[in-house]
Amino acid sequence: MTRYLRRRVFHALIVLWAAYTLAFAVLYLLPGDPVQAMLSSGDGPSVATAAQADELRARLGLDRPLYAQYLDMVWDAVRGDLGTSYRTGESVLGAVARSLGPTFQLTACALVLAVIAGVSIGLLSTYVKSRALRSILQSIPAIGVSVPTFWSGLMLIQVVSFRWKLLPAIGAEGASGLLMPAVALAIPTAATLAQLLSQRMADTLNETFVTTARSKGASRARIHLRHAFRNASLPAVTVLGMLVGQLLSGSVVVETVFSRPGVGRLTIQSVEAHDLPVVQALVILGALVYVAANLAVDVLYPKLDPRVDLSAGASTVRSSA
Amino acid sequence: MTIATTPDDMHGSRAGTPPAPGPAKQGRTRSVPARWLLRNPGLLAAVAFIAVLLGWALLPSLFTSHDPLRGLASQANQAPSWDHLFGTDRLGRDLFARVVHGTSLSLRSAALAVLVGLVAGSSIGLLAGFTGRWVDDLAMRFVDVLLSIPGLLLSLAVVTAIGFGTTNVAVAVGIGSVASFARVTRSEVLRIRGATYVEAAYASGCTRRTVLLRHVAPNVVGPVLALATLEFGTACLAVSSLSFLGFGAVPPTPEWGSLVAEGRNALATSWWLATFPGLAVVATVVAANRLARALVADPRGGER
Repeated sequence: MTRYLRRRVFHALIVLWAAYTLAFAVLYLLPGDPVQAMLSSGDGPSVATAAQADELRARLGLDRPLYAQYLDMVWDAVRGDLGTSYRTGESVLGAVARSLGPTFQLTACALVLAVIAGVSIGLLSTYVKSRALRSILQSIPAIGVSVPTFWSGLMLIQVVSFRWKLLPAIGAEGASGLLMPAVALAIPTAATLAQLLSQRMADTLNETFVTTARSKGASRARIHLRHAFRNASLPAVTVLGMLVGQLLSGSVVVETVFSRPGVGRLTIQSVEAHDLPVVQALVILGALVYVAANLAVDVLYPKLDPRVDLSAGASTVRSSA
Repeated sequence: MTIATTPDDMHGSRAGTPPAPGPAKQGRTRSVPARWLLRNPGLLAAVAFIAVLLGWALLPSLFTSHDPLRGLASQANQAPSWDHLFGTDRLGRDLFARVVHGTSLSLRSAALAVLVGLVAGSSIGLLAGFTGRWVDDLAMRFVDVLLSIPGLLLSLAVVTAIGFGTTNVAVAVGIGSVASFARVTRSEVLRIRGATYVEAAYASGCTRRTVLLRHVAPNVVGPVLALATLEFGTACLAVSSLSFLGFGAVPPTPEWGSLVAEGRNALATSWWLATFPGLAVVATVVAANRLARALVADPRGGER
């Protein structure tokens, strides 16, 4: 087990390093000059002279050869230094760490909502007997995955805040301020989960062990919850990494719509200011969250599914979805 | 796409062997499209809506007589009515005209994004699936890394590097979808490479190149196109999100995402401004996804 764990952690670190390198390649190798973009951001074309541009470039260390920049950055990153923000001059690590709290609150809340809603809809869509109700329950997730988060957020504000005057549109503290953003953020994730679960439930209910359970006289509810759901929910667990990544992506939009502080806000501000070190750190954060979630699933999976034996060696629990 | 064949792959000559019919052709007679459509009212609605969208994109002035860019100050902030189906904004511009004229840009961006992902992703997938061994390993590790970065963050990083604007946003979104195209293409190539009819083709003397072009490629196209349709919906969402965030179309140009962003400021007074452009996105994505689901289910779209 510990050997397996060590190998998985090593693999996770390799993926993180590769993601770091990919982010570097995207940000520093792709055509486009951040210095020009920074100087001209604002109104109209660049007003800075070539000398000013060169000076800024030298100050940011962008005049050195790329391999030197890369090696320095990797070495600094290994020591826990992700550089300084172009925009504010503070340490990138500090800026990112400060924005983590509110986003963690938001995404955790949204994940809980998404699991509750997704599981309920997924289960009900195979449990109800009425054909009409069933097709309605199956089309809800199809619409849910098609709704852009920025729009559902605005619609919530419009109806809940302006029409019904139930919750303040923006700037509320505590739970009342968290509810609407979390609901908006949870919709696509809940829909993805519901689609996956309802499909797996339908497949599982055709399995022979369900027939056996039925012939033994188990009730419909018992078959659905105890027999089918347990099997059908396992694949859903393996996509946790993807779902958390989806939530992090969504938080960029939701935090903008609801004017909340957090990682998403920081992302938008940094992209607007062409703040390369911060954007790079945020990409790595995304990869870290995904990798950590997958690692957690890999380690916990045998506890959920006794059929998976890690000591057998080549068992990487991966979803195909 | 051509893949070089090595001399040792030339198993004899093809002379005397009639071209083996690929299984891709069998499905073509299996279902009459019209009857098949009628049996699925939801699918029919999706196809009809996509047809309307194409009309909006290609000939917008056929559908609305209003100017999308110039409005009448006397008609500012009007709620939806027969004259202005979706209402007007604070400059008196007709929102329906702006949505219709924005279709072209929104759809083109999403299509460009899919094209970028399709070309890059299926090249990687084909190469990985065909060459195998270390090329396959390397390509798939690369795809793993791509998958580890949440799509929107990757697109935002690309946009930071190459600059803002609709084309750049489309390319950035396309790069975000490379991984899924690569994975599907590779798995299809691997599946087909092991199929009996490929074995039979080799046995009857086909060269590697012939097998690739006549047997593998036609069968990969279906599932990859089904994925492209699905990715079109996803790209539509991503492009409009980036536009909403202000990295895409520049304000006077109508584009669905930026129209919603404009409407955001008037949320309390003019509900229609943010509502209708967003509904256009929702309807487009629902329709594209419905079509994609049909393509996956249909034998011509690959059996799964």
